[in-house]
Amino acid sequence: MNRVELSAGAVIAYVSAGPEDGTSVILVHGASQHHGIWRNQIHDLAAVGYRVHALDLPGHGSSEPARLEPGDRAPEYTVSDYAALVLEFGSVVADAPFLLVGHSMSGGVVLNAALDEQERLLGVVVVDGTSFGRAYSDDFLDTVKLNVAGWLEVNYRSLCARAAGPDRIQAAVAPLLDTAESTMWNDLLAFSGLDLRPRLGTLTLPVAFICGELDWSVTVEMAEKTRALCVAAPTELRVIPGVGHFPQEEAPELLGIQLRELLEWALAGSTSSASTSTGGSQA
Amino acid sequence: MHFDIRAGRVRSGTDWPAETIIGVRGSADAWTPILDGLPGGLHRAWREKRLDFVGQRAALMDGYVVLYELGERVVELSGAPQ
Repeated sequence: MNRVELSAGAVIAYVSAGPEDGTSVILVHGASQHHGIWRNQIHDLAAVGYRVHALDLPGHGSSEPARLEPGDRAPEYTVSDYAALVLEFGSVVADAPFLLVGHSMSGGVVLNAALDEQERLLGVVVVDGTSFGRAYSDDFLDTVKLNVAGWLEVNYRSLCARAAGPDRIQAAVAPLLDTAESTMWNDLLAFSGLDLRPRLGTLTLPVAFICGELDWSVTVEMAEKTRALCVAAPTELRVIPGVGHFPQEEAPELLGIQLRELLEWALAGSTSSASTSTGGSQA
Repeated sequence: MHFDIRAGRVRSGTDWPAETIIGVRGSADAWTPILDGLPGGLHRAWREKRLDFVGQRAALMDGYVVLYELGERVVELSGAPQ
């Protein structure tokens, strides 16, 4: 693992792979996960020439845990905070505009980053992610705080398609089991407070969505709603059939195909000065 | 219908104990899609309020992983397509 200290003392751990002169792609894991969820995609994208960086957000993986306690009502890191750190991380590892890929909650992180500094990006890909979260009630939070780790483990297991089988489901859940409860709680609050919808109309860079057909939490419909709000951006939406919320582990081969195609699509769009039309397809 | 867990056995029934530690109940219409293999199983039922989870909240959370896995086995036994 590499490490870099960013502003406010946040130490980001990350792995890099691929040719140093390749176009940089930064992979951002979702809530209560770490870079390991991208283990298949890191090598897949590096093999086709991208310079891939997969980081651990603050509080995750090899980074320091969050400092708040289950039951607190304000996150230490919001989605906006994560986005700022991802952009700062990008300035360290990439000396040219780069591509951002975010999963689940970090679909919001990469969209937030694009909204803040889209001129620094070549495009974003949102994997089973959304621009808006669920506003969790006090009653919901009072219940979940009693066993946030158990609740999230069940949540993640249940978000995988059963057909993925126990080994792939276990691989999808594994990063969660490495995560501190304080970080789990932080991310529940961060996701609950996410709502980028009023700003999406300002995006002009390529924005792509990949969704597992059977993801019942961050649904295809939610991605379609976000896509529809990106009125000034070229957009694409792909649906992977028979897959749930964690295509990285449930169907790495299918995700790899879609990811490579959409990164190429984003690169083509970002270099076309007239590329402002919306369109796309559902596979 | 509800699950009634006694002496390590799981059965369904319509009678409802006066003192319930963990209970999951709902109409036949609510249970049918879950037993038919609705993605997300009992956890989705909790999140989407398709079924009533009753009893002691702390006990429910303590046993939440077991309860979910129990639901998955019930789905398997019901022969739902996976």
